Amino acid sequence: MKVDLAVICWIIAILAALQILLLVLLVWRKVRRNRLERKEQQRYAELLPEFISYLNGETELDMAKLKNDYQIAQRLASDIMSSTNDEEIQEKVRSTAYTALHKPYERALEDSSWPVRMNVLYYIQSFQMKEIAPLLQSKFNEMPVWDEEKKQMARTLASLGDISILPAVFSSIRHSQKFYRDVLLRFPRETDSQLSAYYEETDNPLYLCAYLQRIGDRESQDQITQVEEALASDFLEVRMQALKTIGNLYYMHSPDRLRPFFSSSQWQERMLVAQTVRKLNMHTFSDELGQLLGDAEWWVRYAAAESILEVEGAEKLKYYVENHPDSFARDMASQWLSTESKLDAYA
Amino acid sequence: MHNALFIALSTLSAFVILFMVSTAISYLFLFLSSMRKVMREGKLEKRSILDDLSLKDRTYPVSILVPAYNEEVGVISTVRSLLTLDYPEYEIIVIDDGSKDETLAKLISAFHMRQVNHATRLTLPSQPIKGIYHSAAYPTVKVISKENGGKADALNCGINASIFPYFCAIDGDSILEQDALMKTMKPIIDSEEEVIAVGGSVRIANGITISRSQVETIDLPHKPIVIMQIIEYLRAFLIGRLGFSRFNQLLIVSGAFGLFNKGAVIHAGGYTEGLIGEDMELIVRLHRVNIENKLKKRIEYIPDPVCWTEAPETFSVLRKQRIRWQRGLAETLLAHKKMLFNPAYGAVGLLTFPYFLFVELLGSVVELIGFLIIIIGVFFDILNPVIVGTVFAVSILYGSFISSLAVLLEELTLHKYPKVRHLLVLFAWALTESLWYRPLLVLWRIEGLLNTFKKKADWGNMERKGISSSEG
Repeated sequence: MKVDLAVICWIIAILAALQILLLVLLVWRKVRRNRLERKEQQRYAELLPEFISYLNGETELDMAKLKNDYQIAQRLASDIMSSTNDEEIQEKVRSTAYTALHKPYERALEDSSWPVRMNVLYYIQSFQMKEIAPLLQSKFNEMPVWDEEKKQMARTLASLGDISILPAVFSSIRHSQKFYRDVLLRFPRETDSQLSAYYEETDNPLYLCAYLQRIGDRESQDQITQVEEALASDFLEVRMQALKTIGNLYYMHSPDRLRPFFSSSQWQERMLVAQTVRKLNMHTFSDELGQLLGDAEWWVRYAAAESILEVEGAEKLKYYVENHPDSFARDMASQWLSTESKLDAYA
Repeated sequence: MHNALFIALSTLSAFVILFMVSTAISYLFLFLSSMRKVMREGKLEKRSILDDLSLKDRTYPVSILVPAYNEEVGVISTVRSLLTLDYPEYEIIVIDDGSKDETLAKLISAFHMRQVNHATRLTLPSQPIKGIYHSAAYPTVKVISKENGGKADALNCGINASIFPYFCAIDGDSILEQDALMKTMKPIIDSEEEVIAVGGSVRIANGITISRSQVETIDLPHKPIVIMQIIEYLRAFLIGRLGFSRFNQLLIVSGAFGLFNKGAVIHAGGYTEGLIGEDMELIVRLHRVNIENKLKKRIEYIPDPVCWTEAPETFSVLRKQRIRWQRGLAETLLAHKKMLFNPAYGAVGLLTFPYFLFVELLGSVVELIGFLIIIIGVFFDILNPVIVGTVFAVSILYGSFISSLAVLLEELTLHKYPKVRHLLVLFAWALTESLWYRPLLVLWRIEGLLNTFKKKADWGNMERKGISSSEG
């Protein structure tokens, strides 16, 4: 320990000085930030009435003002977009946003900062800037790794209706079903026929599932034939998705196609068929539901009891409480009967 | 004799200095790691991202589990705040663990609960259920009344009764940010379910104002002891946990708020009963199961504040809390001692586990020696002033300097405290940490260490005053 006391004093002094420096830096930053926020709020408040008046067709808008302050332009457009359902106004906001923002956005896509690029991807999607799609597409193709940015780029391109991303999205790299669904759901309705054509030509179960899910999410009953045919698929996940989609559509042509699922070796299929019967309010499968009430799997019993209550009524469930040969079935029926809020819903 | 004492103390001082410098360097390393992530994520415009997440039914439904034992003061406002969460699909399950106060009665009355006959699967072992209640007014609210079995037992019971694939465990007095679930679900969605548990920053609620079960204004409390805890939380969450999380080495997700994949937790065996630090123990076990089964799962932490919780306002309550925490840490490390320096557990076994053992658990002993050296040096003329000065300098580096960096990190990214005055107050108190707050913590942590093998686990609830509310 051949250290001089003066050195220690110096170390303490340097530490103290560093702390003071840090404090000065923090205060300066805070003051500056608060001032900027106040100014931004003021500019926003000034421009908002002008912007609304322009959207209502009452006055012209000085586009230069928006272009000079693209952060405010972005905030105005975003706030209006999220607060109105008027398609005409939304379209006007979109075109104004494109005029004022496309150049800063194109620059931002090349920015070295990850959050800047990510933020812009969300805004491009929100303002539906289809004109930027080619630039996005080339950047998408250049990206080697499926990181957060590439996934967001896929979502943004899907929302702009760029069907060319499908082979890349549904390639050998396995993503979650949620991601596939997310991408497919974003495609606008105008792309339905192209998505359908891709469904017919591919045998990729990931795409098949996501496509069936989209039909359910969009409630496209006119595509029920494709869904019913999928009930005979070789892939378990495709059959399960077809059942879920039928449930979401509340409709099917040929209920007999459901019959094999009551005795499926997969409990998920048995549970889903019970749920489907409930959603479609089918009275033809009363015995099969009674059988599923005594299933070995808790979830199947749960779904079967719910279906019996909704389709057959509380009396049928009471009958099972007293007469079902399986004790677990009696317990489940009893649980559903005691859940008063649920009974009220089915009254 | 005097010479031998001098040599012994000098050697001890060298050890303390080495320990503190290396720990401070590890903090600085964690700070730099955290800084990168916080700077990156902090600039993201959360509103548009979360709006997008909620629009397309992209999230998974979540069961919120609220274990409660004698929480009559805070549990109603907690459930009310949960009802206002901005999340597409969730259920709220309050598990009353045999409270002796009016917790159950107050819940039944406030939410118009009716007893139902609910068949619950016993996936995880837990004490018998006395009754299950569903709210007639709020269909998503359920209450389970069960025999007393401890917090871990209550959480296991809640997992059994939950119907969704993810669950969020929170404390009975926590107030969540409206978008807390959305923010914490994001890493799970982004990682395509590779992330199995997510923690977020827990902030101290003393000083904030709640209106309609939501945080309305953020201010600092007046008591220095609470301000020091705010700084301590900033340091623990923004530097420590975030830094560890970057390398998938996070060993703690706060019991006040954590989001979990139910399947993964059940696979790991649920919460372990009889331990105080059940939240940390679960995370360590999730890591263990993950590594033993060669699963590529992650445990993440997000810097955004998700939850506000009441901090102790008196020294005696704070002391009890810290003794419990230290015991919890000791019990967890003891339960998984197999992982220590075990190369089979990779970086967790070789780096993080030893770090928690030597820095977080036993570090208090070294710090105490450091403080004693300073006292001896100042009051008795045994030690070289250079040695005493060095120990003093490193203890400042170790305590105050790192804490002020945490304040910096908060201001650079999240800036939840809106006024310049807030910053000055936080910073000024951070500088005093090494002089009074840290020595107190050291004493309590040592007390906790000594108590580890003495008592049985209990709930250890602190006295609640309830969070300041403008609702009256």
